[in-house]
Amino acid sequence: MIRFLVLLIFMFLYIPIVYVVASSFIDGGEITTKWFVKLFEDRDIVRSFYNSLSIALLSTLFSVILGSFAAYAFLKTNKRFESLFYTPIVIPEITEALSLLLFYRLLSFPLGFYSVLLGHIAFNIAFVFIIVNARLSSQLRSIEDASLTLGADEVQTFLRVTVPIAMPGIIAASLIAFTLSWDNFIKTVFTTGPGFQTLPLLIWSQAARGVVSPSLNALTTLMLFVSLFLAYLYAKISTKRE
Amino acid sequence: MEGFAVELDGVSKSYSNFEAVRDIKLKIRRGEFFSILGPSGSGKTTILRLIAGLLYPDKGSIRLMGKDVTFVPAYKRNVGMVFQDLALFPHLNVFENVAYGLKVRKTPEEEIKRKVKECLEIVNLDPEKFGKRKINQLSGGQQQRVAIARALAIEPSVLLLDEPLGSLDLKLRQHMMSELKRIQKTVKTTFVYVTHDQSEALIMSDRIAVINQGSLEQIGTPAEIYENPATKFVAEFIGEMNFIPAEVYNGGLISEIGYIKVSNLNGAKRVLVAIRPEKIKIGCRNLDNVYNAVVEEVAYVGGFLSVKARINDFCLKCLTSSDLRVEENQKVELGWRADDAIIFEA
Amino acid sequence: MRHFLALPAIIYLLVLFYLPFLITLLYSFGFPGFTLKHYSEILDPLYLKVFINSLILASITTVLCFILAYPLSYYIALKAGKWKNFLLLLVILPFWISFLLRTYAIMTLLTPLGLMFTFPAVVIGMVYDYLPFMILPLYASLERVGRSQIEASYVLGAKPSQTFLKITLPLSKSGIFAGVLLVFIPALGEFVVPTMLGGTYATIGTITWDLFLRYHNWWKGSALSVVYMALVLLAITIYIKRSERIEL
Repeated sequence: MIRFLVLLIFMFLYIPIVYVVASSFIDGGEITTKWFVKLFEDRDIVRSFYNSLSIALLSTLFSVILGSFAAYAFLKTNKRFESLFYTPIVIPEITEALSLLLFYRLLSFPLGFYSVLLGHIAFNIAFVFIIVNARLSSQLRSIEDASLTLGADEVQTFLRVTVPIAMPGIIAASLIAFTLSWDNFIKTVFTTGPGFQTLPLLIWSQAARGVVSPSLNALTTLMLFVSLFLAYLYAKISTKRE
Repeated sequence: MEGFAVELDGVSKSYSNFEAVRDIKLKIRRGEFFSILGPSGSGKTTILRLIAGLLYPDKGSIRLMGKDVTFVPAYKRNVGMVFQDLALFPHLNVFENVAYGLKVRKTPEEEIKRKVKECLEIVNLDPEKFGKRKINQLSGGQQQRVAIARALAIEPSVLLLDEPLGSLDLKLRQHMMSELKRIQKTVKTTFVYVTHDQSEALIMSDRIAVINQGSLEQIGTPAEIYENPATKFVAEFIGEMNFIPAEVYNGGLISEIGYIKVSNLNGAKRVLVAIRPEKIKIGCRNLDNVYNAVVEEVAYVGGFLSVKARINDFCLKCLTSSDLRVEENQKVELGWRADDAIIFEA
Repeated sequence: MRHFLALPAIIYLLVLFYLPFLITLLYSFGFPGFTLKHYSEILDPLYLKVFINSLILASITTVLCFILAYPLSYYIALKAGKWKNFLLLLVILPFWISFLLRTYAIMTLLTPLGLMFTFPAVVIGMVYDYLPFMILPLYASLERVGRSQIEASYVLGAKPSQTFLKITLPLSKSGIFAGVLLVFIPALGEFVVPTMLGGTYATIGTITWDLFLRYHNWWKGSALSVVYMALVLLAITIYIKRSERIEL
């Protein structure tokens, strides 16, 4: 009985995804890749693709640097400041997004690439902090001390000991930050301006009207594969670490 | 060897809200196995970190091998340190861990290989078998050995050990104690060993410094510290001790158990008479102090009897050979020589 | 000294996360002036209906997610054996896919079924999106229950049903609470699913969207958002208080 129920629930979770992927390869009963070819011929889509990619890459880069340094600085020592990084994660995204919009409006900050990027970095910092912080052991301090007593100065210690030990956590955090930014919709839609569109916004602009189309299926499939590829990398790194 | 490996002169160190160590004066001889013994939180690790250069003192000066290093950073001191949590590099294998200090010194590759092999052999780890292992593939005892080898590889002027045996079980601990002693005899380096475990300190050390609440209580050989504790704290902290409160009366002492004859009084009015359990003889009459007592409790502790005996209402712990036959509620005579008691101001 | 390395990140968050919230609060009181009228307008029957709509949708979503997630989590935690890691992977994988894509995916199925723009479509979409958020905390708490407590209960003579009611369920309470919170709070403000699948079904999320992006009524939108935030903070505070008590 319970097994049947479990099976049903997993079918519920996965059939829609499989259905989208399958239908993006089908045209009138035949298997085809023409929907994907069409995607790359559509200038709007290609531009949005580059926009998504550059926002995701840049926000990952900056948030990983800022968030990792913060995690390293606290290293499970200061609970009071830590909560500063937890709030952005428990707060519903929509309230964060509209606050940012008001902030930009008040400063007359032009809405577009930079406003979206700055917003993405903000919430990614919080995620990076928490992931890196969770993976850095509090033993790191004495490991660094050991390196100092063995004759390595602060810079050598940081490069030869701290960075390599923190690396798996940083890579994991980068993957998650990239994913969150890559398919973020709510913060992007609130903080973007005319002329700047990412792939999720493109999907929304058509799907919000309830329109299902083969090219939209293909675009969704494409994004899905990127997400799953990132998830795969993440799993690979996590298991290697053990 | 002549001279001192480590000299601390009037060293104090405070953290934001408390004074960790206060006015420490220490001279550790070259080639010595020196222990710093004290309860947890007494400041002994702080002293070690000050010697290592991981902390700088607020007051006082530190000399290593005769040179002032008070504010020299750790990486320029050439001091080996074995950490409480070992602090091995988890991303490096055994060989790379031991070679680390030599690598950052830009030692030639051949020399590194030779030195690492030598150090692993000193700590009884087969370089062929263990060199390529990851740290997490080693047992606790093996990790210990790698940590020691890593610290020795840089040929340190002193080797600092911060309770390195704390995490091991009793059997392994005893084994590692004799190993440490053997290693020290082999490399002839000065060892400074921090511990809260008196038996570790007594067994291994040439000399011991007892620390309490950031201050030095006594420095001496294990025998000196055990036989002639300088303060009440040392007497209480090391080994077992009976304390009998007493008042000076007529060149001797009067107490709850009666008159106590002692050999030397230091002028105080109210005192504590300290007497080790094994100095109390049961069933002997030709002693300076003899009392009638009732046996309360007898426990057999491998070759010895631990006896609790009551004189009036005062309870004394005695340790005696298990040849002696005593039973609970038995009336016995017990006593000690006046020379065996130590007097502290109350 | 090392703490200064955190300064850039902290300043960044203060400026681009915390300060904006302060501004929202200001706007809700009629910035640059001061008035309470935006809050009183929210109490208007029209908005009250939206609140009730959202509450209904979030409640139904939470209850359905719980009903589906509990047996699933129970199975993975205690019965799955060698399949455990694989099933867990299937639960975690959806976390890597955004709501937008997953909602679109279920839309492609609802369209041929002729369910689009109905209340059931919204509910199905909500459950589809939020189910993993209920499964994971439930699984984590049931995992901690472990077999030995359950076996101890059997040995002491309890029937399976009694064991479940007296041992398993109470022990997974913290997971239930976390799961309910993780689903209910964001579901309350959800706007992707109602917009895409429900057409005109109004919730706090869709109204907020309209006030900001369609009518540019920053002030009323801010007031609505502040009320929503207050609800969220209240729930989180209760959660923290509760989990502290459970740990004791």
